[in-house]
Amino acid sequence: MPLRANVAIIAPKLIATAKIHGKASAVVGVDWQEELALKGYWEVHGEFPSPTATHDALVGASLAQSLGIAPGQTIQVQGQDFTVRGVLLPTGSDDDAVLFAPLAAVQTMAGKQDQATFLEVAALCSGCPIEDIVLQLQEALPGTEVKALRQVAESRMYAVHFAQDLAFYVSLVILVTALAMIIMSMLSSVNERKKEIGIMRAVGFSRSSVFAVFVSEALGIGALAGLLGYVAGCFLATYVLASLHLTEGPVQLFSLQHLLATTALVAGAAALAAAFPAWKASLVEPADSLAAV
Amino acid sequence: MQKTHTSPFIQAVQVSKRYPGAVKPVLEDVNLQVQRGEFLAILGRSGSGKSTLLNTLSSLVLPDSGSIYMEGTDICKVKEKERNRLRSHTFAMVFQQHHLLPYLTALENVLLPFMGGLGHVTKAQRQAALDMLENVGLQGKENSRPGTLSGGEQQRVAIARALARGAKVLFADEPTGSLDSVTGDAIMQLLHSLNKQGVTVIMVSHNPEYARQAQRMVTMQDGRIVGIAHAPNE
Repeated sequence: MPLRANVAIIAPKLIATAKIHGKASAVVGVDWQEELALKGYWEVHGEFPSPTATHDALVGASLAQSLGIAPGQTIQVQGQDFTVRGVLLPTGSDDDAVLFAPLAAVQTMAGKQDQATFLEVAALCSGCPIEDIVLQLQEALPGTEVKALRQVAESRMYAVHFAQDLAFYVSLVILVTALAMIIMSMLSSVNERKKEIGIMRAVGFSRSSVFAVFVSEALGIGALAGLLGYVAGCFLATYVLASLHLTEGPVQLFSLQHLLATTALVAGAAALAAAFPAWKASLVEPADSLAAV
Repeated sequence: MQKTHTSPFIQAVQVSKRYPGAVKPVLEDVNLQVQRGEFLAILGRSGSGKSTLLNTLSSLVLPDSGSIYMEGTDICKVKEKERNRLRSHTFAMVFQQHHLLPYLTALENVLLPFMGGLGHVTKAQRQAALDMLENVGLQGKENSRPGTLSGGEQQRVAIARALARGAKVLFADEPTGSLDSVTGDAIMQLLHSLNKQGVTVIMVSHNPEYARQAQRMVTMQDGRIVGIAHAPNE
């Protein structure tokens, strides 16, 4: 059964890049009437462009901030003047970083008359058979990739969750490996320092005091490692972000709260890992360890 | 805890000890009394049990059977916490190999018994350690590390560490064993000087000459006491 009746909005888009105020930026050509109907959740500082306007523009929040663009301003894009009617309030999506302009103007600017990069189709109904609509669109538009937004969102969320899970499990493996290394290293240290432990016990250190000596050593080393690790991580991340050009300008990565939390966490983990070796150290008999020297 | 009214300062009663895997006991039914302020030497060949007897008297090693009394209290039956307290406050140990911590200065080594785990020492404790270093003739060497000191000086630091908390009994296991004769003589003089100051000294030695300088000399063989000799003037 044809489902054409369910299709409420068809919003074509052409994506191009252009220099705005000397900076390469993404420009999205839209049909204002369709776009504004589709993006009913948009909020704007200023006003929305008139549906029939040919040279009105809307600017995403972060792009407006980085270029210093305000509503009412006229900007030049590839030789064409556009009047910025409004600046979108942050949406948390890609819309924040682009300039929206009339589709025809962008097609002319990009030299792609009557072309679109993609079409957004909205089916305004409850319980629509989205998969069937996608199927019928694929049949009607052979050679075109048709995807339900939900599928796209699910696909993106899957990618995001996969990356998060991967990062979590890699971190977990690194943490477990680090703890195992601390345990091995501390056990080795206990073996090497049996004489020292024997001396401590001989001069009156209790078993709990010996335990405290080793755990406090691990705590101190762990705190130092956490501190240096956090600082080194900040420097490395800043360098990597800068070299990949993923951000605009310097990024503030350092946070005192994160530093303290990292230091405390690593110190705590090191102390926890040192508990077993420290317990072994506390069992060292002074007479045996001193006689063995 | 068991108390006796007219007890010697330290007393070993029927003490036996066998190390795991050993065929013969290293101590067998040993009885010994040590009086307050005495200088006692324990003499014997290697393996005769003299060091084990010393470690048993000082509570470093617990006997398999028998009792060790300290002023009438059986220290084998007190809690470990109390034995730790005895080792840090009443007993003092000196070993043949000095056993100083190489990364600590002479003063820090002497302060070790005060640290008790987390390293905090008071001004009074620091002063006591400095006084003890001066008492053993090491004033000016407080900040020297063991590696820069001679064998005799290292042994003096070990003695200062042992006595810094005002111990009443000094257990010395071959204190001159790793020293030349001149330095050994000096250490013996120091031990006699400390004994005159009221410290009870129980010393294990291979050297009959040094052992004869004690007020009493106990000879051990195969885990048993086979002879007790008193100094001529005793």
